[in-house]
Amino acid sequence: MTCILKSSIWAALSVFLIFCSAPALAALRVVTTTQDLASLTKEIGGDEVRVDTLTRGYQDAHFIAAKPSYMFRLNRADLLIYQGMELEIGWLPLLIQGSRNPDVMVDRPGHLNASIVIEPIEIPQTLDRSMGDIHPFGNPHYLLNPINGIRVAHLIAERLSQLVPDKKSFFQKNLENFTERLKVKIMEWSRRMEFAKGLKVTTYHRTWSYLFRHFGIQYTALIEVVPGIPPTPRHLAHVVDAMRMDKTKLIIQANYYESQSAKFVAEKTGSKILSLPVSVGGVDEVKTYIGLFDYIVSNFEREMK
Amino acid sequence: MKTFAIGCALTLAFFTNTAQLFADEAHEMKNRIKFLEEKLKNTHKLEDQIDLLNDRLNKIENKGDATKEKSFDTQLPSNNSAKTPQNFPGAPVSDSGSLQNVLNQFPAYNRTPQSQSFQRSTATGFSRVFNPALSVNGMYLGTYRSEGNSNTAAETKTGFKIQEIEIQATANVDNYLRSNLVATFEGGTFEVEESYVDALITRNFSIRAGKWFSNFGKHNFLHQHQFPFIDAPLVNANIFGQEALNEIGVGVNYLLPIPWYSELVFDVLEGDNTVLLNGTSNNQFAYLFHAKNLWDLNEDATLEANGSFLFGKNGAGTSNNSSYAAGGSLTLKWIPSQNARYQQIEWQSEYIHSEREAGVVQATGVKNPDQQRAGMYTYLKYQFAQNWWAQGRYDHYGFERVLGENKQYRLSGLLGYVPSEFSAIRLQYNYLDEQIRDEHQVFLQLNYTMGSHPAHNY
Repeated sequence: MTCILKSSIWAALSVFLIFCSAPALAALRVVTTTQDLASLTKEIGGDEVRVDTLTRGYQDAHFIAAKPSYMFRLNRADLLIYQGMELEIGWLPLLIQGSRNPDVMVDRPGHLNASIVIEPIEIPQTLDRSMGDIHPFGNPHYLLNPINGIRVAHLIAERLSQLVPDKKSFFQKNLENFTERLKVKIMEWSRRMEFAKGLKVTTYHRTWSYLFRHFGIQYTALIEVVPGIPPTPRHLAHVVDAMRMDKTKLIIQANYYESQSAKFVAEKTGSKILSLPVSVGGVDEVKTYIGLFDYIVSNFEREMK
Repeated sequence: MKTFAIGCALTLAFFTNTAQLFADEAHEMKNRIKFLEEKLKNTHKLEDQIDLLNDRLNKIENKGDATKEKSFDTQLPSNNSAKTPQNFPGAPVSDSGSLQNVLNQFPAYNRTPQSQSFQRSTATGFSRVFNPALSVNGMYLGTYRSEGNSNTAAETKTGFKIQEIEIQATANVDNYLRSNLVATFEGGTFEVEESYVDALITRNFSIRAGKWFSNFGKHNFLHQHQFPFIDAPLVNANIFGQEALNEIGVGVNYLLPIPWYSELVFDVLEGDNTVLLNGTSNNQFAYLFHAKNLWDLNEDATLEANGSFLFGKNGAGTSNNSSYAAGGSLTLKWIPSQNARYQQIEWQSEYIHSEREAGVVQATGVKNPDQQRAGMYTYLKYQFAQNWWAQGRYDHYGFERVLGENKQYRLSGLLGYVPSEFSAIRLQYNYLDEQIRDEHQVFLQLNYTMGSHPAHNY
C-alpha cells in the first residue's frame, strides 16, 4: 500500500516537474494578439521563437472574450506583441493582469506595443462615447498598409535581439531578407493596383483606411451608423443615396461582419460585394503577411478589372 | 664679475628668446582671430539659412494642420456625408504612384510619438493624466409584484426606484500595487462595497488585501450591474443574505503550473456576514478556499468547474459554534469565434449548501439543531442578435432549510436589449412559488455605465 502511494507520489511529482521545466528548455515563447503579428514574428524569429497567436484572422479583434485559457497561454510567454491603439482594449488588459506573468507587464522588455513605430491616421479630434467605439489614438488596423509591416518587422527584430542577444545577426539577416521580399512585392502591388486609384468604395467599418490610403481608394459611406453601432434602415437609405450620387459600385466587407445590410445596399445600388480578409488567417489560403496582400490585390483585380 | 656678465648675457638671451616667442604667438593669435571671424560670418549665414528653413517648415506644418482639420469633417457619421458626399480619409495619396515615391517611404522607420494631444505639463500640479479610470454605473428599476403590496417596507416592492448608483475607480498605485474602489449609493445610504489592492508577488502568485465580494462560487463576486438576471439567485440570497459574502481580509491566489487554467484562492476574512458568520469573539476569522478550473473544449466552447469551501464561527448562543458553506458550479460557454458579435450561449448551474451550529439552550443544556440551508439555480443565456439576449432561469431553495422558512421555486424569463456595451434595457418575469402562496413579478431595468469602466471578466 505504502509502495503504491510512494510510486504514485513520484509519478505525480515527475509529471509536475516535466510541465514546469519543459517550456524553459524551448525557444523564446512569443504570444501575439493577431495572426498578422504572428506572421511577422515568424519571419524574423525563424526557429528561434515559438509563436502562439491568441486570435485568428477570421475573428473580429475588437470582440474577443477574455478567456482564462488565454491568460494561461500568456502566463507562459517570454514576449507579448500586440497591435495596440486600443484595438484589444476590451480584453487584453484582463489577460495581462490575469496571466500573473511579470515578464509581460507594461514596460518590461517582454511587453511590446507594435503601434509605437507607425504613423497613426484618423486620430479623432473629439472624444465622446456618442461617437460609438472610437479609438482615441487613431485607426488601429495599420498593418493593412504593407509599409507599416516593414516598420513593425524592424521593431520586432530589435526586440527579439534584445531578448536573445546571441541571435542578433540571425534576426538581422531574416529582417533584411524579409524587407527585401516585401519591398519587391509592394512595388508589384502598387503596379497592379494602379487601376484602383480614385476608386470609390463603401465598407461596413473603417477597417480599410490604411490599405485604401496606400492604394488611393476612397470611402463613399459606412454601413454601420457609428463604430460598433449596427445600421438602421434610415441609415442604410442614406448609404444608398450616397452611393448613387458618388456612382459607387463596390462594397468591401470584412468577412466577420453580418452581410445582410451589405446585400441590401448592393441590391439597391447594383454594386458588387467583395468579401476580404482583414488579417492573415482571415481565409484559409492566406497564411503569411505577404500572402494577405497577394490575396487582396488578386481579388480586387478579379472583381474590378 | 665674470659670473655677473654671464648672468646678464643669459638673461638677455632669455628675454630676446621670449620676445621672439611672444611675437610668434601674437602672429598666430591674429591668424586665429581672422579664422574665427570668418567662421562667425559663415555661422551668421547658416543662421539665416536655418531661419529660412524654419519658416518653410512652419508653413508646411500649417498646411498639414489644415488638411487634418479637413479630415475632421470625415469623422462625422456617414449620415451627414450621405447628403453631401465628400472624401473620407483615404484621399488619394501620392504613395501609390511612381516607383520612387514608393521607395521613398522605406527609410521611414521612425518612432512617432503616438499622441501629442494630451497635456504633458504638470507645472500646475493639477495634472489629470494620472487620474484613476473612473466610471459611474446607474440602474433604474420598475417593479410589479402581484403579492405583498400592503407591506411598504419590503425590499422589493411595486413601484419605481433607483436600484443602485455605483462609482468605480481603478488604477495602478505604483510599480507594485493595483487598486480598485467601488462605492455605491443605494436608497439614500452610501457604502464602500469594495476597496482592495492587488499585487503580483512572483510569477503565478498574487496577493489581495482590502474589502471585496468573495470568490465563493460563480455568482457571489459579481457587482449588481453584472448580474445575469435582475435579482440574485434565491440560494445566494438565503445563504449569504441580500448583501452577499462581502468581507474585509487578506487573500492569496495561485495559478497552478499545470496544462490547463487552474487557480487556487485562499482568503482569511473578518467573518462579519450576519446570516452565516459573525462570531462573538474578535479573533474568530473565516477562511475561504476556492478552486477554479477552465478547459477549452474547442475553439468556441469552454467548460468551467469551480468548488468553494468556507469555514468560520457564528454568534448563536455560545462562542464555539462553527459555520460552513460549500458550493460547486459548472459553466458552459459557447462563443462562435467567427460570429462573436452576433451569437453566444451560456449555461451555468450552481449548488450551495451551508451549515450553522446553533449552540445550546442555556436553561436545559440541550443542543439546538444545526441550521442547514441548501439550494441551486441553473440558467441559460442566449444572444440571438447583435443587441438581443433571451434568458431563462430555474431557481430552487430548500433542499435543506431552517425551521420556519418555506421552500421556494422560481421560474424566470428575461429579454434584454443591449444597444451598446454601455447600456442595456432588460425586462424580466418571475413566477415565484413559496408553498403557501404564488407570486408574479415583473421587472424593467435600465442599466448603464458612463466613463472608463474596466472590462468584465469572462
